[in-house]
Amino acid sequence: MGIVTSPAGGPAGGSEPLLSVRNLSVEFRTDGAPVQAVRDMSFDLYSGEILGLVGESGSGKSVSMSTLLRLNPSPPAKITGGSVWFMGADLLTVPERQLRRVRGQEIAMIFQDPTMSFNPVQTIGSQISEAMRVHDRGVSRRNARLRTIELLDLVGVPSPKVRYGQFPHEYSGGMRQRAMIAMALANKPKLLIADEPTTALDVTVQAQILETLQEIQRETNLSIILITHDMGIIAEVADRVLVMYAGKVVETAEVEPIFDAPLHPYTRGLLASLPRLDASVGDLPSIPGQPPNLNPPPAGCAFHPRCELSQHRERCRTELPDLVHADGRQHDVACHFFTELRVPAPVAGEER
Amino acid sequence: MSTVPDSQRGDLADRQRPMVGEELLVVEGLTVDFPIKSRVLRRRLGDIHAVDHIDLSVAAGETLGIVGETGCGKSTTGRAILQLIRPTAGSVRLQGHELTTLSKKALLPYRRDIQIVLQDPYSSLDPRMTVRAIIAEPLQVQGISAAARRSRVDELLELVGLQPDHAKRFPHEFSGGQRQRIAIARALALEPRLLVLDEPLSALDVSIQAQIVNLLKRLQREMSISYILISHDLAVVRQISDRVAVMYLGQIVETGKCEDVYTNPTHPYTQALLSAIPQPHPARRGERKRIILQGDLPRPEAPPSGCRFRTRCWRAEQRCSDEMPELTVRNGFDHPSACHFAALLSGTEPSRPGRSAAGTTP
Repeated sequence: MGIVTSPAGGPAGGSEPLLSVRNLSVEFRTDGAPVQAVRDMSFDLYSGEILGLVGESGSGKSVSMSTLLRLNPSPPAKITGGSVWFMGADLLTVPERQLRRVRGQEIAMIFQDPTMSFNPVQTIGSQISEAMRVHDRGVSRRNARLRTIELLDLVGVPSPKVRYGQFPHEYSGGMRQRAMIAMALANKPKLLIADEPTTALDVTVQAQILETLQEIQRETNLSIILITHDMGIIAEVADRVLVMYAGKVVETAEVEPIFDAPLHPYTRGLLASLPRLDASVGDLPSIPGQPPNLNPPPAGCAFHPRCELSQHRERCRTELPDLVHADGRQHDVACHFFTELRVPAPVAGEER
Repeated sequence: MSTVPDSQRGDLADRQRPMVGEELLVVEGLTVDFPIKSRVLRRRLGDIHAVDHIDLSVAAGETLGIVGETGCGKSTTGRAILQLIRPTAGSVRLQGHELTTLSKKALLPYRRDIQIVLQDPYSSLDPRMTVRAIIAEPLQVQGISAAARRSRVDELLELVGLQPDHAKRFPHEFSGGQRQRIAIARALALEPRLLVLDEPLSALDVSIQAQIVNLLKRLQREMSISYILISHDLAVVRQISDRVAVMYLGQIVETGKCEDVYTNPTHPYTQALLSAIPQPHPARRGERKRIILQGDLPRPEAPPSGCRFRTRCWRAEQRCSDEMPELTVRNGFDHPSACHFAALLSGTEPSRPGRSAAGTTP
């Protein structure tokens, strides 16, 4: 089922996606004009898949994902359109009571900073047990404890029995993130949304956490949406990639084509500007200009002021490009002139 | 590089600039201890050895990268070089002048020569000052005339790629990358010889990082300034630095030319660090064996005896807990390593991952 062509009313036919987002738009009300944080976002997520969501700060990647669970307070956030189909229901219209059963049970979320996500005056173990018992009253305290210890062990917390009774400050940053993952897994969710889970951590710890996530994914057939700004992490773990710019999905494909033959000039620029470990090249190719202001976003294609391909063509300035199928491999791109981009690698550019 | 006549720049131009390649900064035995005090009586209970007997040097026009993870002492080292934190022991010499013994007042003339750029351009710029005032402030402190300050600010804005009309604006009107340009302009105002860059890219978006990397490289080419680049990001360090020092728990464990250290790392910590970086292409998944270090960083107030890395090291033997390995050239390699068993990673390593402590022989 294609991303663009599937009906807006909900998923249909073929292998059913676990999650189906259609035309999602989110605004933030401010003193001035509303900020269009997410614009017309559509995608599908299948069971057992790791979807990488890449973009820079302000691209709408975190806002769109917290909107799936209606976590953004309104006002200022306002969902201006779209639907989020998950297990036969549109999460944007179900009553709050029903949504509460989905949050933390069917869909779990972990965040960048594990320090802020735990209650500092309650032991890690009791917080995870509590998360379990909130959703299932049938679990006895004793069983919740045993299962929590199992979970801590699963995510690689050493001596989990001792660690169960410790407070968050007694955990290191990496251990806290592991505990966070354990808590997210407490109710055997079908989908885990991980928002920059390793950004606050050192590389050696990041490697540990990514490995843990991949192992759990393989063992439990969990689906994961991994939000990150780091193309290296995408290359390591993602099956499919969604690239966002200025609130819009600009490119989506399986991970190999994204790296081998990126079709959007923004994706190309992003990949080219990564500093490399194996050699120091001269100047790094860089994307000129500054990240866009979303209040309002640039007219036409939001990337056009920074685009090397556009060269200020009329069409880029006036007409918003649709996300269209580029070829048979479910590679979708939102660029008027992507067919001109068949030439390899961009040339090293100026610093600005 | 400067268009302001010397007469208007105070004594800025009087200073002798070192020749490219000449030793600019020499640091020997630099040690910084932070006291741990009891809450009630404020008694000194012990010390955190944040930086422990570090030697390093930077030549004119050169970039030294300092890499390491949180808590390894890399930022403290940078601040101790600037004398923002007074070192507990050791010497910091700038072109032969000892800085550690100088009073605050006596240090002032040397402050021009070493400047710092901080990580977060959102909190390092005063939100109530205009860009012009921000960049002119160090010039004012050094007693440079108002007219000279004006033209110098214009010149600096151009140098870092900002527009002249940006001078009137306030920091909140700029994006992160532009703010970092302002911070760099301010640091360059006094034509320093050495710039300490403490994680200058970490707060910036990926597409902007490359712009700042290129700006820093161009400024170095044009001004033959030296950099100490402090970063946790090994790829960024590789991009900018000539030489690199890898720190672990307050000590340098391996150092050398970037090329040598990145292609032939001999210290197990450097090897683990390099292996942990994600491969930049999905086709190369699993190609490089990731060394997953077991356990956490030991507490710096009670570091392990002997080699500080031994508690997480797969090569550790009895000797590692008895004897602290010195940072020296070993086993025929051309760059120094602080490992008794300095060697390239063999195909079978790490064969004993997660051995919690040394003490047994293999």
